[in-house]
Amino acid sequence: MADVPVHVTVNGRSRAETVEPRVTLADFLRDRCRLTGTHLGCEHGVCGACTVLVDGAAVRSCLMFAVQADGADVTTIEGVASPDGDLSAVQAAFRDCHGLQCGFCTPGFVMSATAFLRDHPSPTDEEIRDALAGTLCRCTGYQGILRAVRQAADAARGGEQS
Amino acid sequence: MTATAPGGAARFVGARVNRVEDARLLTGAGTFVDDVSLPGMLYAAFVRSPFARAAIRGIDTAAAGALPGVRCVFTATDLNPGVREQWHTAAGPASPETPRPPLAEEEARFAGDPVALVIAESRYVAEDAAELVEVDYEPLAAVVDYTEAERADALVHESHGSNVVGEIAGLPASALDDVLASAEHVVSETIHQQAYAPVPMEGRGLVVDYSAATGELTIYAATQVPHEVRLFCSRLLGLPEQRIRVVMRDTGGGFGQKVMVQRDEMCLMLAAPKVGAPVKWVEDRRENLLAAGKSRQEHAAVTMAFDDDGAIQGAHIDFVQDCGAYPTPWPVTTAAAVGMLFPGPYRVPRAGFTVKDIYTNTVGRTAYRGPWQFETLAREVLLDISARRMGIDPVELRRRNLLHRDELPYANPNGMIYDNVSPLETFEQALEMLDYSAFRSEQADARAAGRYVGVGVSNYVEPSTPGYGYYGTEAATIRVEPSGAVNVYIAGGSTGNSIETTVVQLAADALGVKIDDVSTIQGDTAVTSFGAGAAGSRSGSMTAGAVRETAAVLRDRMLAIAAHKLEADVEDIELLDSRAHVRGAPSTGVSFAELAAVAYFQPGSLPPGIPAGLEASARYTA
Repeated sequence: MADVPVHVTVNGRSRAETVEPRVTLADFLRDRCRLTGTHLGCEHGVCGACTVLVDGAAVRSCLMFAVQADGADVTTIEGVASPDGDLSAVQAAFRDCHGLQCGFCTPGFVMSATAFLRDHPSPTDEEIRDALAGTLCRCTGYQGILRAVRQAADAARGGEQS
Repeated sequence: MTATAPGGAARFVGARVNRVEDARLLTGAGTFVDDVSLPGMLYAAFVRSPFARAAIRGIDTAAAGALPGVRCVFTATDLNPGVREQWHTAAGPASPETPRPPLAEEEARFAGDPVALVIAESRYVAEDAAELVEVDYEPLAAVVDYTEAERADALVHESHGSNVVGEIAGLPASALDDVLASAEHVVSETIHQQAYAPVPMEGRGLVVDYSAATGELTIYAATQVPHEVRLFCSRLLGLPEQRIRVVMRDTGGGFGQKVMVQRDEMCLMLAAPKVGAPVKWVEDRRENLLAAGKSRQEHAAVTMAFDDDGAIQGAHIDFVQDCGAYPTPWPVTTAAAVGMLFPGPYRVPRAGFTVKDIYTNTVGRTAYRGPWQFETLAREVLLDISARRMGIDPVELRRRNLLHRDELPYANPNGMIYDNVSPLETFEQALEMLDYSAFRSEQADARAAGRYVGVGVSNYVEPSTPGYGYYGTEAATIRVEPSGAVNVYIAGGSTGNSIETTVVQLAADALGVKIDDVSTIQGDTAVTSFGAGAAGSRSGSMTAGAVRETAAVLRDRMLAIAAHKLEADVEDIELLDSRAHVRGAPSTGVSFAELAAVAYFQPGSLPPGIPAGLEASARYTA
């Protein structure tokens, strides 16, 4: 099958590429864009490590072809901190709450939590658990991760406690 | 333990500090093996047996080789003759290891067994080509149930002559006949544990880059032990160790699976020099689950005898473990530990054990988080069953039998010595924290209301930080750089264990330096000294010893330079916050930068007997 042009905006930068139709968005981001923060843990939509934002929605980039992202605005983990390196509230909360160990799953958690908190600024603990249920950590760090998302939510609401 | 050198206050060890690893890992700026990309790099994919056991009658690679973008298709004939030596340092060259052909030769021995290796210009093409490799398999009767393997006609390894990998025994069960005959209660049970897969979030992977011009080989690896990857590869290929460099930055979990080089990784090491370009192999999840190893498929017949007060009179375990087709390493010594540890932190006057490892046509056994953990499961489940039979509360039964500090050292009859531990005292503390009696009354209320809630306890004491052989030492190099900043070089192998942060904390305390002035370099064999990596819960404590030994050398040197410069006695100098000052007068004194300037740039101003520079290497021996 012939290669197909793809035009996407990734972390605010426009990219025009030509790809095989079967190339996943994850591989496109990692190999073509050299944005290797998006990690592949299972390549079949189970672990959530490859989560990115496509037009704002948290999406598993291993389950989407790059050509399906044509015309879309994509944000990866590399686009979350400010350009001068300041961590986002979610990233800082993960650091504060020991929400990561090996760090392989972390980009997926940060992206999922970022989209979730944008849509649910005052979540209950139960909603946080639900929102992160599709993302796996193997260093057994879920308690720290849940505390991190709680802290990020509370911080965004000016420290007001739920 | 504290790693603080004499005179250095523990300010950072034990304190809550930000992890130094986090800035890169939170922003996607880490470097896992799949993030490494080299110019001209090619990609590998394995062809794996779909059969648990099959004779390989032939392999046709023509169609795969003809696919555009494919560079090489290797079979056993191409790679296996390249093996010079094949043994893991922890096991040694004399260990009776399972023969491990890198690629399967005449026979595939488990579903997932690597049969051919395709190298292509992209991973997509490599996987396409792998599907085009035609392997003529003749399926054979497979040994899949380890409990039947001893009686099976089929042999997993014909040359071994039996499906028993090996066995070791202490006293046989019959040696306890008199105890069992006279005991008030004898409880026997067979306890099973199901297979585990280690499943690190990141699978195994390597990028191997061989330069024919220089004879140098560079490997980027997902590993717990970069130096062992180098040493193993050096023996495997017959390349001098100094020509090989292994680099690991971030590894996405290991849990024991990345502690020893396996057959797939050997294939990449053997293939790379034949390819003429760097080659990357990163296993996918399917390969990880099929071929990277399993653990804990095992069972045991266990017996305990008690007197009428519930005091243990004797204990025995007959342990049997499934080791698959290619266990890595030889599993029998680990199995023996199950037997030795089975009596646990209890007063057990008589005991015995047998352990047996079994070959099957399944994926090989690898290490996994406390590889002899079955000793705890079997003993503690048996204690619960015994408590129920004797009508004693399970906590009370344990309380009557746990060793307390006054009895130590205590040698159990299976050969394990317990010392410097406090089993009973720790147990009582845990019960107090849990408020066990309060829970029991809540439980009774809940039960009365038709709700079932439970509580369980389990005690174990297992050795960590092995102090023998290959694992017995660890090195550090510390440089107080000319600016006064500090770099600590450690062998590394962190798979999420925060060893970078730990080292920075330790060095800041040991040298009296601000924590922000310390960095650490780990995981690159070109610049770090040999170390046995992250295994056996060793890296934190061994590294602490290495930092302490090394920092002590530099500390003495900096104290001497400062005393000389400040015209004070060495005993009166204190190192704190990257400065040296006379005790009680922190506003006077000199910065580490000034001390370093003397050490590096004014060698004539050094006190007599003090060498130039502020660099030291030392090795801790456990």
